[in-house]
Amino acid sequence: MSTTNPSYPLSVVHVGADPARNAGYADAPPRVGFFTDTSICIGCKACEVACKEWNEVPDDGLEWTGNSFDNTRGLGANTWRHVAFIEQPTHVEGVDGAVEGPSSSRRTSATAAGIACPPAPTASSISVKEDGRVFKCTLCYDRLDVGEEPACAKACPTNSIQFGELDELRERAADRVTHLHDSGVSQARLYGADPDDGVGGNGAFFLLLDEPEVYGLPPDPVVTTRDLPRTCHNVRIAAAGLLAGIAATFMGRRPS
Amino acid sequence: MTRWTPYLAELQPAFFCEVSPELAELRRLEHGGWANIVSARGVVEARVLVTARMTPLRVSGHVLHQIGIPFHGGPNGYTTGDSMKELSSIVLDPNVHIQEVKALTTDIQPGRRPRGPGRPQLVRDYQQRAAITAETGLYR
Repeated sequence: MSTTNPSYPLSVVHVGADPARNAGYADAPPRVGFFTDTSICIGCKACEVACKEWNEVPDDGLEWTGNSFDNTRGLGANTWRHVAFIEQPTHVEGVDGAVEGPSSSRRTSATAAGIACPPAPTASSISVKEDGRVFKCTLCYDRLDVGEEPACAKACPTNSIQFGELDELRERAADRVTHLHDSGVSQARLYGADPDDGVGGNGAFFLLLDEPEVYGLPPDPVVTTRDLPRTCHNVRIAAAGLLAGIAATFMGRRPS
Repeated sequence: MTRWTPYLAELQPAFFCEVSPELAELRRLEHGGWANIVSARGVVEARVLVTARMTPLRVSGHVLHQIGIPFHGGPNGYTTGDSMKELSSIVLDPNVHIQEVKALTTDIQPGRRPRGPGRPQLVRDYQQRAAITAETGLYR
């Protein structure tokens, strides 16, 4: 795996879908993320263990499920495995003071992330503990700071989880899909790779071998703030109507 | 190590035995329930995992059922339970002296194993029925 070169060329200019730049970070390094190729994932859970080990996340209970060798059940606050990481800011035009989603995990409060992030495709980019606190994948930023890749990607024995610059990962993923199609795996597709989709492209995107619903992923996720301008507009109309009504009431009571 | 590390223990949090649907039906084993497994040397109990992966073999005209059991098991650590090694003989591989007994013959019955004096008594009953004596080297 290539990737975490600490000396990113700062001159690279990303136009449009660059959350860090849109958030005002002029000299932001290229956007990085995960590409998870599920076609070569063997389900060993090394990523899950590595994540817990590095981030000191506690175990999730010792309950035997009888579900083959999978005793994890679902993902949660203490069990992340690999995460879908959505960092596209959701600038809303037409609203005073743009509402902005998480631009990067380390600069966004967990609560804000919980509110502004779209439904997490793998139910794990944002996790809520029993006590209500919200947690978000940090991409192991303490590792990134010293030029290491995130713990899950490092631990993955088949390179199913790849970390790197998003542009490069998207290219690599497209090649992989072509290769799989040529090999007769016609169901292979990318999920969250398109910068023009409803969430502006996921920071962590996937190669799937079936419909997203089979994996428990929403087929066409949209950021929750998409409808905010229209909502705001409607609220203004409603407020204006209300004020007009109140005004009319007082006007009606004016003695002659 | 597996049982002593919480992150690994939670991946396999119980001592289990994997059996085929055919064997489960034959011995009335319930998926998720308990079974006790008896060899000439001991008896252990394990949770039952019924999967189609385990297929009965046909050897010399006889049907041979297989039971898959993890080697990791024991009373200490995070994941506690019986140990498979109570069933096996002691044979060490010549290179690194790791116990190399990986296949042995057992019986399997539904339910949990007896506690206390009932446990060795159960094994003794099996030994007597199998005509295992001091001369055969397995009597105790």
